[in-house]
Amino acid sequence: MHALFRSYRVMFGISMAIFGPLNASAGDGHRCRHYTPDKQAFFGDLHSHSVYSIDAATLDTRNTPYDSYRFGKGKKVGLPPFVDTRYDKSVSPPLNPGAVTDHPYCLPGERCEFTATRTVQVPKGRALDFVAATDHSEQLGETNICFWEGNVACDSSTPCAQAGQICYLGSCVPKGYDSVSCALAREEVSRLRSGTATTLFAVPYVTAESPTRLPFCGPNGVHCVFQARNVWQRMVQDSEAAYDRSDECSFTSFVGYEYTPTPSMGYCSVDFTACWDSVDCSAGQTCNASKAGGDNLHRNIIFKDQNVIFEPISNIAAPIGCGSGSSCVNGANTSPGPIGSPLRMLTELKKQCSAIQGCDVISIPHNSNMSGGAMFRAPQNAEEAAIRREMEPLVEIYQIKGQSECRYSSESPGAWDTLDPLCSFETTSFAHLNGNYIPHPNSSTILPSNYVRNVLKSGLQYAACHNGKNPFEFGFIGDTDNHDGTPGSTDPQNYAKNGAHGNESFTEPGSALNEAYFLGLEANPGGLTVTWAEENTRESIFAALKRRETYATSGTRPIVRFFGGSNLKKNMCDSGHFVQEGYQNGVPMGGNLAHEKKPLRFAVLASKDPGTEDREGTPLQRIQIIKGWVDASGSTHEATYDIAGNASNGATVDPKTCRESRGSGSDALCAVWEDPDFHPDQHAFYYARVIENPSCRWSQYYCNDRQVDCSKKPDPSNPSSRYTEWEYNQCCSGYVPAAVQQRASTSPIWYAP
Amino acid sequence: MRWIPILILVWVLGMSNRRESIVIPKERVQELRAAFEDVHRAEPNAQQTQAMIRQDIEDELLYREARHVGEDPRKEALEGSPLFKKLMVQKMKLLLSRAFEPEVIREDEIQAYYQKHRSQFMASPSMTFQHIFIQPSNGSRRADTLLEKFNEGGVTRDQWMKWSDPFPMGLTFRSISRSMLERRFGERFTQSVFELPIHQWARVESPFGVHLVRVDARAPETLIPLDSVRTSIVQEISREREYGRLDFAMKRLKQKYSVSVF
Repeated sequence: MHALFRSYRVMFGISMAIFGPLNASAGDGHRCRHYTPDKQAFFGDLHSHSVYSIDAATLDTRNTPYDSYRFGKGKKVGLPPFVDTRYDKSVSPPLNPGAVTDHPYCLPGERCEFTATRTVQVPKGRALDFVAATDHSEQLGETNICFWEGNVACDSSTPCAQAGQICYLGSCVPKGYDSVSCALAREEVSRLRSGTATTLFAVPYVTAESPTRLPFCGPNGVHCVFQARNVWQRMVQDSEAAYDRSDECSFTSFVGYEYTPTPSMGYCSVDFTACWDSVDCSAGQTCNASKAGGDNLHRNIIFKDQNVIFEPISNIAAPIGCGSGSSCVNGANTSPGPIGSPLRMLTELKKQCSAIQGCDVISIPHNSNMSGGAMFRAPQNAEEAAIRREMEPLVEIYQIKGQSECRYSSESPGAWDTLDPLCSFETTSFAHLNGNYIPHPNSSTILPSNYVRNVLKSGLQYAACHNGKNPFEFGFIGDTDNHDGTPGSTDPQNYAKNGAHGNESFTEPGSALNEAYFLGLEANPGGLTVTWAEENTRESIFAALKRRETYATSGTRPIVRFFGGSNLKKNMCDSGHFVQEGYQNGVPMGGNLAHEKKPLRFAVLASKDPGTEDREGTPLQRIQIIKGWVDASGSTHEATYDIAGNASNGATVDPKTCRESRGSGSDALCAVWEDPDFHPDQHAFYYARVIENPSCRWSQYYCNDRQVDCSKKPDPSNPSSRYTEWEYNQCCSGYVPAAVQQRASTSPIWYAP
Repeated sequence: MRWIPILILVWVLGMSNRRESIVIPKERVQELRAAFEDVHRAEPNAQQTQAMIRQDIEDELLYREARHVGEDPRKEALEGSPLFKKLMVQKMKLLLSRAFEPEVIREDEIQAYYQKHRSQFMASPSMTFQHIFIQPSNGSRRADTLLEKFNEGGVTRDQWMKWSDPFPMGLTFRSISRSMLERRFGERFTQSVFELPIHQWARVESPFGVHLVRVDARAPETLIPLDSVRTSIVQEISREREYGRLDFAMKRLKQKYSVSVF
């Protein structure tokens, strides 16, 4: 009975807090005993989804943010399928029901209504230092109403009654659980595959020009908005409970959410500005708006601490794609902003946060690789440039749906404005989110502006013409974006086994190998964020995020220091003073340099991922510096320099066993590099990329687990075949490489004349 | 109006109203067994059958109580569907577990919880140490030579920092917890360092290379101060109370019904 009851606690816990304003205390300011002035590397994941996201709930993910934080701390959580075990008396009832989860499952060995048949836990030593649970803000209320008919205590004077909801049996009952839309969403779980419900809940909310809520939300979405506030309160509570305020500072939780606009907009025929219809284009142009899917313009909104805004801002409240076209209802109600720009959302976020004592917040764009080139269009005015620069210090470049750093193909070198062959890593064949699979992408089907390195160069161009104000002066982070409530689960060996999107991973294991599915073969386990901070507190980590002293990894855990400045000593790598000298004589990753006369130097120090007890980390192959600059004519350029290690070290991996050759590669690398082409009058950026030796891609582990032998096609008539024809075709197709080179990319150091 | 749910609760739990008997006919038991088979692909044993019947009785009891205290406004749309009963049961459970006055959790309760569950509030052991790092390519002999110098004494901090190869995580770790050290250096290195004597240089290998380590201080597992965990204790006590209220209410309700199973 206890476990069944847990499912109703979802909203009940909120009821105690809902009628008062959120606690507006100042920062906690506690000091950790491990405080280190020269900073430490802290690993985290600022992007993962729980059951509060509609696209996770419909896949029977049951982990909440509470569970996500527990997973990040190294605890075990459950994954679907869940089986009804309330009648199984072979196990004892849980002694401490609260220790498992608030929600309707328990772990094997405990008794409750539903038991997770799969459990997942990071290996020892792989817990995270910090996590943000970032559920989609658009359907927070809807998801809760559809799946649990969440409740809060009520009487006639409470807000829920005033919002027109039913007060029944002392509980406020949001309308909608019995709606057709909710029934469809629930049915999707029972059908064990993603389908119409996700589309039903996506199109009006995130892809339409004038976003709206589904009818069951009532007039102006009042019921769903009300419920979303309750869920938000719960998210804040879960984050608060997870934060370690002792001086051990073992774990930091951030409050966050994902703002998820995916507008299905187009571009004007001549100047390529965003449009919904031709009225949005200047005279004589037509709007090319027909396409599948939408432009991924998503942002994760991360708050410094518990001082947060009253409710998450959604694409319905601040539609990103709303232009001046006639069908733009929201645009008519407010002043129409530039189409496809985050200006309206950022302005609202800043305004609301400024009104809360102690509130501070950043917005982190992700998956520009699926944005149709729309994520980083040039600001249309100074106001937009300023607020983007102020509130968007970071960009997520590695995650499950591919890397967004840069793109290269040996079939058309230079098509995406780079000749850097390592940019072929974890690219995808989708120009838009939920868009069509593009079998042979080129720079007109997947635009160069989808990639951050090109955006950084555009930012330099913009800065050169606008008094040095660069709207795209980004630092780098990596995250998972998984929808299992398992932040930081980036192990390639277990990715296919555990999956990342609820029941898809076990109901349709073959879908993981589908190259034409955007979460299939071309997806990957995702990345991690690393911050250099004095201590593991919200204050210290958040400050590191804001000053961009961060780097992104593609999922592994190398440690990287990066300093720049003309006064760095050439012999920094000769002693243990590297870090102190870096801070004394230069700036760290994410920093700014200006007005230098002498050539710039950059110092990079990296050590390999230490691995785990079961698996050694992969040695480093080399360190690179990537430079971008804009010349006097306004043209942009880039160059890549190998500064340490050896690209031809001969390290290999045996695809059949995934055993890596040892004896080549490095456990640590260090180099000081001086820019031979430094020009004091040119805007430039420099970042370090640390490349590991080759290791098996997750898909190769999958194929090996299935014992697929590419020399032996299975006989379809033989039911005892170890693998299917589909698995054979996909594993042996060469769609994706058997081995990849995992990596870390530091935030750039920026130079302005 | 806040008293309405309280009145409902008093009425529901009051002992004066005996209820009509709950009868579980043979057909219903068969239905339950069939449902079990659908899920588990096996016949339920006697114990499992009893558990299902008990669950069914509890659901029926809660459903009836819900019907007694008022009709769900959505009755017309939903009545007759299994969903309707499920919703009623949910509502009653929520009602029975709810605190209708603001929760007051006394300091002595917090203290008692803290003491009872002190094993949950232990900070992992920590240590302060310094090290110099020698890259594998710089050879094992160099480590041995340096260790000899250290053991001879008189080496200044500036000297040993110069002798070290650069190390990205720095050369001094202050009060780092065992779990955090494991995340940075791996389990084997951590185990070795935690076993070293204080104030003596020793050679330890890590996944990165060779380290000469001097442990300056070591702290055992310690109890985290109450103030640092007060928020989570309050939440846990509140959660336990909810379970307690529901348990209590279910026991009271069962006394109001006679049950026949065929």
